[in-house]
Amino acid sequence: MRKAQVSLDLLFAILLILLTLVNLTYLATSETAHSEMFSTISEVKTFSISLRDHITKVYAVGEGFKKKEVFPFNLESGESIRIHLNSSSNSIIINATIDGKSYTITQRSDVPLKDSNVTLTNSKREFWVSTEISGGMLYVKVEP
Amino acid sequence: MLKLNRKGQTAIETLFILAIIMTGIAMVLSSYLNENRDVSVVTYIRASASHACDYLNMGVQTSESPYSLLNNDLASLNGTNYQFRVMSIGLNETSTAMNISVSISTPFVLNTSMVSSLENSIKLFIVEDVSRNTNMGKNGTNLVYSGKIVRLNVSVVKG
Repeated sequence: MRKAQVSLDLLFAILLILLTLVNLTYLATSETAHSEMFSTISEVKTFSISLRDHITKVYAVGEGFKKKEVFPFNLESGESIRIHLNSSSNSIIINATIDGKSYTITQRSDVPLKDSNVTLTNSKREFWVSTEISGGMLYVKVEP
Repeated sequence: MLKLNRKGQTAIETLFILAIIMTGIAMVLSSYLNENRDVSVVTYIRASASHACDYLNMGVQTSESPYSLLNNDLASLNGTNYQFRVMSIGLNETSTAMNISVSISTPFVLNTSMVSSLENSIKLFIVEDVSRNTNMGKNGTNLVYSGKIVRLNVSVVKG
């Protein structure tokens, strides 16, 4: 009789602990979707910051200097990155299409830019950052 | 004869003990479940609000729903990292509703129209995100959990 009493108590205690555990597991699984998206966002952000830095460096070195850039993450077929330098707002705009979702980031540049575009795909992950002189001023541009 | 009598006594004792245990369990279980529900709701909303802050701080716009709800505000933040973070969450429960106030802080000054627009879209985001990723439901613009309406109040403050 005593044995049966103890096991009944124990069963209910286990039930309550399980309930909490199930709740925690549920919360953890719902977090995975978020983390996957944040991982892609961080990749795009990292790339945009390093590109901005390299553009500033190319400008600092001056005329005739070219730097080869390689997108540091893997791209599947159908995924693409479009890099656009905008001279009027002096900003670097990166549009990424990764896993069917699109990501956009705008970075403001401290150095003058020339309007130029480059599109990266899984077969072509590299491009050049170079300079151009027009009207006696030095501008930075991207080219395939 | 004596043996039979003893057996009957034990059975009644057991019944009494069982009844006491059952009453105890019934009392503990309901308040435990209640507490568990409140904690879940607050955790879901806190997680979601901190995702909204992370997204705004990161500055990368995405087309993925429900994050796209924050894109207009992200664009008007103009690429600046405002370092949003969830400062506190308050819970006030009545018999039919739960009132949850989420307070988000930033060390920078934002103008009033920007603040109200942010508060509105973060609230929309939380409702959409929580109703999609957890077992909480949506009733128009409010969240519903086990028959109770969850009223959200988001405030963005400097601090």
